[in-house]
Amino acid sequence: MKTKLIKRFSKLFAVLAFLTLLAGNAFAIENKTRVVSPYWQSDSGSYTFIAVSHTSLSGMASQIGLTLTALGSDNVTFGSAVEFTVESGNTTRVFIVRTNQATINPTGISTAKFISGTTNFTHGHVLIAPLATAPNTATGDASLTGDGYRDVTMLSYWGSVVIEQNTTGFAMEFIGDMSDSAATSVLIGSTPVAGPAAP
Amino acid sequence: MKNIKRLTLLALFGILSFAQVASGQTTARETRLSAEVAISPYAQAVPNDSYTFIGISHPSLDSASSAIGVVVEVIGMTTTVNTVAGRATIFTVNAGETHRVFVVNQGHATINSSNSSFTDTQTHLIPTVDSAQFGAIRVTTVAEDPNTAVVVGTNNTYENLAQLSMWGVVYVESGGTGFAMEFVGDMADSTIGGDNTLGVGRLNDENPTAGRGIN
Repeated sequence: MKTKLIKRFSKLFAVLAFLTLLAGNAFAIENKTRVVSPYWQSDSGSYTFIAVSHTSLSGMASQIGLTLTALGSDNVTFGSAVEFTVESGNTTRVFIVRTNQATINPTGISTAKFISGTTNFTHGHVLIAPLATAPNTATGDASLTGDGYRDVTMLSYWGSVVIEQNTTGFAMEFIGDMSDSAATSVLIGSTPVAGPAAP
Repeated sequence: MKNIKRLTLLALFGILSFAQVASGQTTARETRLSAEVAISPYAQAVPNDSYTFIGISHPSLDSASSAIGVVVEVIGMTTTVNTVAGRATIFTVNAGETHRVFVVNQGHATINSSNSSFTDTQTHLIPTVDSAQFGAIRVTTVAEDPNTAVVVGTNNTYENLAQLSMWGVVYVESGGTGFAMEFVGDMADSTIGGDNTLGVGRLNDENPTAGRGIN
């Protein structure tokens, strides 16, 4: 009886250890298709603003979908992540703001996307992921207008942490977006190279 | 009697090996290796005027270890405890976390260790003396060999600074304004590395290399 219990406990322990290892990697994101920003914040006197632009460069699909998540410092999502599609030539605004902000809200700015949450001071980093399952695979026929990659790293991002009292703020940093685009020393014509640095 | 002799011999071997380990620990690690360091060129803390704020986040890249230890050190500034330890704060950034570091004068009215808003495990203070201080920031990895991969599943993972993103401001309190800081050597400076002779497409089936952050 005792041996059985020990065996069961050992198995349970092994399963739990396995699940813990899996959980540890649950949030891992693929490097080459993501964009991140190191810091955002929201409280009773500040919010975060992000603009996402589709610059219609060649190689970009005419519609690029993305998921933008504001992750708190403790790895808990602030509000709900927003999913949207940026069309060629358009800019979409995203606000990370407290729910009861008087002017920055979905009623006052209907065209913007909102991640709303608590009034308490909250901070963390931003994760941006593609909606497309294969962003490095070009859509449709290369000879057609609007064909290209649904790759969020080809979009351009700009943002600021806004201090409401003085309407001042701090520019955000985005890593992995168009401004970080780069080309390798030897290129193959059929491979995707994101951003204006593409030859 | 024989047993006592054996035990004594064993104890001597034990002391010898402990002494070797202990002497190893007294040697400070090199903190100027470029592969293990990120720097920010400017920071300041001026009483009743300004302080420096830094955010360090772990975006959980495929190539990142789930816990990355860092040392954030102020260079050229006089801190309250003006020793190597007093000039630095050491912490681990776990996957998905964002940590805050404040370089602020010790007599600051609100940003201090008595205010519960600044005492959580993800907030770190480096107090400076109550006179104008300016200098630079150096961030070092805790891992002694951060560019050696640890394979997790099928991925190479690293404990280096290319896996972390850093952002900061020199904050001027009177106007609620400030200036963005620059960090050299963090994820923003990551490069794809490795054998790229076959073009970018080659990366699709290749494990990220040590220098590769998000790019």
